[in-house]
Amino acid sequence: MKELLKRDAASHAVSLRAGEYSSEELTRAYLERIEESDGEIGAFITVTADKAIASAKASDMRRLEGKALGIFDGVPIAVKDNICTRGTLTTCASKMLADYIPPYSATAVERLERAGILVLGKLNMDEFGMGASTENSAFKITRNPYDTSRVAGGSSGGCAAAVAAFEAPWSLGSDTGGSVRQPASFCGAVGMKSTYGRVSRSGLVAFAPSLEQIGPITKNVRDNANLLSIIAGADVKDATSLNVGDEDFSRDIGRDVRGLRVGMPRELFTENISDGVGRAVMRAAKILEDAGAEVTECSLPSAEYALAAYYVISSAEASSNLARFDGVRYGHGSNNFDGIDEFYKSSRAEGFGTEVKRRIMLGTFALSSGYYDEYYKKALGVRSLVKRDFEKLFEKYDILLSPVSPSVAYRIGEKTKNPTDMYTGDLFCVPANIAGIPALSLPCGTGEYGMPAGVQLMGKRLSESLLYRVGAVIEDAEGGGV
Amino acid sequence: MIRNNDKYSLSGAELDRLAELAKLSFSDEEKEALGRDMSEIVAFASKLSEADISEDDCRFDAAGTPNTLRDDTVREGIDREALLASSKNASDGYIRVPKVIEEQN
Repeated sequence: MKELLKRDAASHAVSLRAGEYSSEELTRAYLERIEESDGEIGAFITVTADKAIASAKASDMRRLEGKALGIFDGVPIAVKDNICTRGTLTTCASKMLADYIPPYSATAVERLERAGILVLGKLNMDEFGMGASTENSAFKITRNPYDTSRVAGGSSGGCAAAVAAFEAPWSLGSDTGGSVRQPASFCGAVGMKSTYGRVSRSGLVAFAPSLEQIGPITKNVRDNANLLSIIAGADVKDATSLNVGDEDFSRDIGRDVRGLRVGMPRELFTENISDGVGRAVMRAAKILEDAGAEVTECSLPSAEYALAAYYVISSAEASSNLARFDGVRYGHGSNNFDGIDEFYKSSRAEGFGTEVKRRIMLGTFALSSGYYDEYYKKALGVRSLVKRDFEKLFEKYDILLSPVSPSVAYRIGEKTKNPTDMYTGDLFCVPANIAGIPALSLPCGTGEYGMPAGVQLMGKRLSESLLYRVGAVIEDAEGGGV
Repeated sequence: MIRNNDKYSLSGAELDRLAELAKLSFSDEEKEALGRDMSEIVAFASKLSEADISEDDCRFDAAGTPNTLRDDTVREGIDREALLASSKNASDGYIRVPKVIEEQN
């Protein structure tokens, strides 16, 4: 493997500017790496080699003329396959969209292009984002680069694996209930789920729109902050995007944490946490304490309901959003039908995988007459409760520290038999989606089997810069990012 | 739905009704597995009934802020031809669909 593939996006930016190598050379190096290792890893669904090289050449030309679009002009990226890329397959890892080529790009992708960042290809995931291991992809399983018998996590498994396998310096994923943070943690990378509305969802294929955000997966905290700064901002195409002005999220990295109040919600330290993960969180707590922060235990009482509320709300929204896939205008249309009603049913039965159908059925149940009050409405009530609990906590604490997942990456096939068991792995991640607050996942040492272990930092709305500042302190103490 | 000491069981008829609403179809084998998994998930979700929440809490607003609405001005949208190109059944600016109206005679 070429040495330069080990470098982060920021150092690529410096080298491109210094003329040490061109964007074309850099892009070709990543494409060669993908060619060489992705057969085993399975991070990519589509590699857009020709387009990437053409964009790289255009970037080199701009730089030559002194017209670089920003410091990251010419740096490659890879993008999760539920984020629309104009003219390039966007499958959501579903048979339903196996040949779907969107006529427009997501706003986040347009923002990358405006910064001169070029797309290497599209990354594998659990179908429509439903899953936590990338075993629910209709096309292939993504393997963990640290141990290929283990999962990369999910649903943005391809995003985390591509970064860990040096197939891309950074990537864009999406997080509905931990789908950026958990795979990042399984693959030793940094993942951010920003405040609800920070990043436009226009062009993100909807699974559960009231919960999800597009988010960066990177080798280290600083790259993550820089990538979020590029993709964040108000957008006329997403009415829920926040109009809070542009921000440089890396601005507080390097500041110390003296006097910061860190809370550890005891409800997020459940009995099923592995020793390795538990040790990682305790080590992060110790690092912050040694750096002058005040770390104490606290309580998030509603956490025990958050997971149930998450599965009810996300499935309800999925059942409604995925109703658009009827086989008529685009997506998979069945040849096996008699009458329009059967056409819809066959198209959907053939196009969707088992987990997607299960969630649609569950959501239909939660929204159906007789059960709506008891499930969907209650779940919305719990959302208010969780949000209020967090607000109370953030009066006393600046940030909250918790595990990301109860264990390190598990073996492929280990959890596919029992959906409820797989769902409980999301417990620590979903509260941030439920409340719309930002949460950062970053590595902190090694857990069982030599696999990376991660910790999560949560903050109040719009506190991303603080999370990056605190994350960087942990990262520095651990010897810097990947 | 049958409830018995926290055990929930969705009947076959109930699954059929939901499948009809969701426009999905399942083989008998799939239905059996689905019934088992869904009953387990629904039992798990029933924890929600223990939460102490008010009617007001149930009116939750995800964004927590007013929607950012754009000005009501004409702007360029996505090209019609480009949109039609994503359909396999497009011809002459239309999309061909299965016949839904029967001839009467």
